[in-house]
Amino acid sequence: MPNTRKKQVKEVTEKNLMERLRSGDTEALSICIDRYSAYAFAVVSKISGGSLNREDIEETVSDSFVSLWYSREKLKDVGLKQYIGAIARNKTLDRLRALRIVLPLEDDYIVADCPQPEAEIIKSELSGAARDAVETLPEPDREIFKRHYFLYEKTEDISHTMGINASTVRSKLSRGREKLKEYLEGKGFEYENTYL
Amino acid sequence: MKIHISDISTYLSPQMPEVREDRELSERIKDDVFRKIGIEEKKVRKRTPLRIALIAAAITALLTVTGLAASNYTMNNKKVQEGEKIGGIVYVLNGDGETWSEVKAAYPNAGMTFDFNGADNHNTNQPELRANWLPRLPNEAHICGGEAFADIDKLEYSETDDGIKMETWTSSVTYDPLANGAQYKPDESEILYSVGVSTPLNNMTYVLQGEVTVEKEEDWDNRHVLMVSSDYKKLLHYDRIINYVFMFDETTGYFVRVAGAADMETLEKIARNIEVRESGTPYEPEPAGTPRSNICIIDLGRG
Repeated sequence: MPNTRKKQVKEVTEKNLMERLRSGDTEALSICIDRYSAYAFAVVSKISGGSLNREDIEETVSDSFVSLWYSREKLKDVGLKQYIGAIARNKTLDRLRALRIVLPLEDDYIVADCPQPEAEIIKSELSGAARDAVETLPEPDREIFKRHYFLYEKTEDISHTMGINASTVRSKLSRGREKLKEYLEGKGFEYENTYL
Repeated sequence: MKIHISDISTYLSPQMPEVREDRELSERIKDDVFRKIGIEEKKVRKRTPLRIALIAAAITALLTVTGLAASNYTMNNKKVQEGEKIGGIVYVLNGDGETWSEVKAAYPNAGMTFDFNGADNHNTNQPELRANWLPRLPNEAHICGGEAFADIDKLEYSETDDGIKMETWTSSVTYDPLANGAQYKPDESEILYSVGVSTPLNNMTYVLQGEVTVEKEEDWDNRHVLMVSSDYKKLLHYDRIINYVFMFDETTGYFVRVAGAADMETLEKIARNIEVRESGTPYEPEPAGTPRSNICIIDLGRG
């Protein structure tokens, strides 16, 4: 028989929160900010890597929640934390681009090389597939992969934060990329000039 | 245009369990956000829990007087439609009770779901049951009790005219031909009956897999009873049909499953003669690292 001695999990409250956000409940937005502003702050701070001062980071965070509010009717069944993380990341990258700051990332292999008009569509397709592929990775490989490619966190920093040897971090990243490649090929994503 | 891994990593938000909520930060962010969207935060609708509680009490009192008192707990069961996706998320919490990792759980072979409105927390002790009738079968050594199949507690029973009656209260009772180290024999080693009880919490979902056929659905006193069979061959390539009798008590929230390879008539008779009560054993908090979810399967199995 299922073991029902389980505490009430946050996911249920998050589902209610999303429904209330969609319906325009500003108290839900307030709860969202309480719950995820520190997370969004961490995302912006890590990605910008010292390029933004605290005031700019907080402004990027509040812009992210404003975007969340204005796009609330389109909220799908992606988790709120994941959604806010994505918005905060995009806002940060936009801000850095405007300041002409380029983020160097080791091991950022090319997945596809295609003409500009098609690139956005292909990027969107691949983003969904990448999310599914990475979810199949075991922990801590998944967290390592996400920290590196989402947060642009260096392997040494990941090693320090997660208490894992740096060479192990690199080898898990390599396995993650193999898994991504296998998954994309299995789903029929084949592009010219890929280097994965 | 070259597309790099980082370009397709938009939805790969990491967990970052080291991040803690920051009250001062969130107050500043709220001020700024509400200013930008043109809403004064003091106008934000606040809950009025006392008013809601008073209204709820009044409604309950009215329904009680009219004889239509609402049940404390409810169960909504339905067959899974073609193309319908059933899934949820399994969480693993760290030592501070915060989410460390999330794994999507998908149930592509779901045949029926049971959704519960129950208690938010387990404030009572665990339930226990006693079977006042079980079929007399050739080898009583195969009867085991307790939570896990490996838990081969000796259960005491007495003889009746056409069967046996348990004298022991337990969390579950099972007739498993593989109990007590018996050898596996094809066609002879199916679990003939297994009875267990649980108390699903609020917003919990149970999933029964396989091709499900509802045989009967009725009410016995406070218990809603559903008798179904599940054919696992087509969906899970497991050539067997298992019968289930589910009983849900709307006043206590207890959910009883009587399942097995025995025929439905036998399982129904077992179900009609089950007693359930609150035991003296409290629920214990689970250690950090235990996976938690509000969705799980309830198919008969050996784990």
